[in-house]
Amino acid sequence: MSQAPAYNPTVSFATEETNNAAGRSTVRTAAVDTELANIASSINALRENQSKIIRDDDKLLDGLVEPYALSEQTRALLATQGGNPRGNWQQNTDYAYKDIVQRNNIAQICLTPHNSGTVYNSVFWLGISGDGTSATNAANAAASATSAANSATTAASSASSASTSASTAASSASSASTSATNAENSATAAEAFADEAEQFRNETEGLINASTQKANQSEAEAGSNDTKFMTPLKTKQAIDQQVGSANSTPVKAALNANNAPPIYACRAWVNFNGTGTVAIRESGNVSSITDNGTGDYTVNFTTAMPDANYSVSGFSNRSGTGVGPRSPTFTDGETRTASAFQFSMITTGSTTRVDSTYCELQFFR
Amino acid sequence: MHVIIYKNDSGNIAVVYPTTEILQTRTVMEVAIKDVPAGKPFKIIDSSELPDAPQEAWEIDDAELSDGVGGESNEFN
Repeated sequence: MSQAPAYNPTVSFATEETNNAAGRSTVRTAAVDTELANIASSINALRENQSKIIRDDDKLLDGLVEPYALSEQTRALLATQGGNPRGNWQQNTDYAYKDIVQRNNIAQICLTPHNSGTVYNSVFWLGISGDGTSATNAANAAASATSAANSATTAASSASSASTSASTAASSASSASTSATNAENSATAAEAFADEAEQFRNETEGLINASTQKANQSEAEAGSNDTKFMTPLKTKQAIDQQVGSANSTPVKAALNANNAPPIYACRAWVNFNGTGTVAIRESGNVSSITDNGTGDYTVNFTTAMPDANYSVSGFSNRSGTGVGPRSPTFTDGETRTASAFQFSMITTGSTTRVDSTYCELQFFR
Repeated sequence: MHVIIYKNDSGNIAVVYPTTEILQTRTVMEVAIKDVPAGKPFKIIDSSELPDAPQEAWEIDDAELSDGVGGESNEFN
């Protein structure tokens, strides 16, 4: 479409009227018609052209604007989206889609991947700037912005990590501070307790060392004072005095063995049924009873006597149909040692051994 | 109840009855070694195995007394 022709008036009707052009003052209608025709042609051409640009709703016609119709700055801005600045164009170099180079001060963006070879081929490139600076700068700026954004992201991540670390460190520091405070408090309390203990020890030691507060031996042995302290030595002296021997007064009193005669202990004893299978009722310091035969027994001591010179006391029963009481008898030839005592159960007036239901013996030494 | 039997010097069979008190701290074998005369072989049996007859009439083969021999010491180790 060509542009609408310009309209330039060719007749001045006022001049012609003044000059009485053609000898008349009336309007030359033919000339006016021509003028109007020219105006109409121009206006119609304008209208046709306008219809190719503007829609009926006064909006710009769809699909009308193509990239090349955009301003250089706009094209440069669009071209740099995703572009990869590669510096000056180089020979024998592989270029990828959207690689941006400068050649003769014109920025160009690669449309088709290729190797540049030795001769520049404009088929592969689209010029996006007049002087080659704006697009490159924009691309560089975009790249820088991307890099900056990445750096910012990294920095943000690092900052977050640092923040977390700082938080953790702060928490640890807080815990450590709390622990330190607790430890300090504990140390202070321990120190105070130690001071109190030392003071108490000094006071106690002072009390114990005071001769008027510590019992002497006679007081300890008497056991009548109820206000003085007892040292270990005084305690031992008191015990020795009170129960240190079997014949001490308290021991004798406890055993109902009052007055002067000393007491001696039974060192072993046994009570068993010697008839049939021997049945030992109870015993003390006796490990076993040996049934050697009818009416013949041996008492074996768990712990041996100092010697065989112990004294034996015995008791038995009389059979309901027997002729006399039985008694334990030590017969010549029978064993009598520190560890065992053999005896016979014999009916009075007889020499015959008999088993007895009650065989009771006590050994004193 | 376990008892210990052995032959005494007269050839009769003697029976050793451990007391209850000693069995709280010692075994029947330990009592046997202590209370059976030194060098005499013995056997540990249940008292229910003892014959229901006069003890002087009991007999046993020496080979049966195979559980141990009375120790030299009359005290526990």
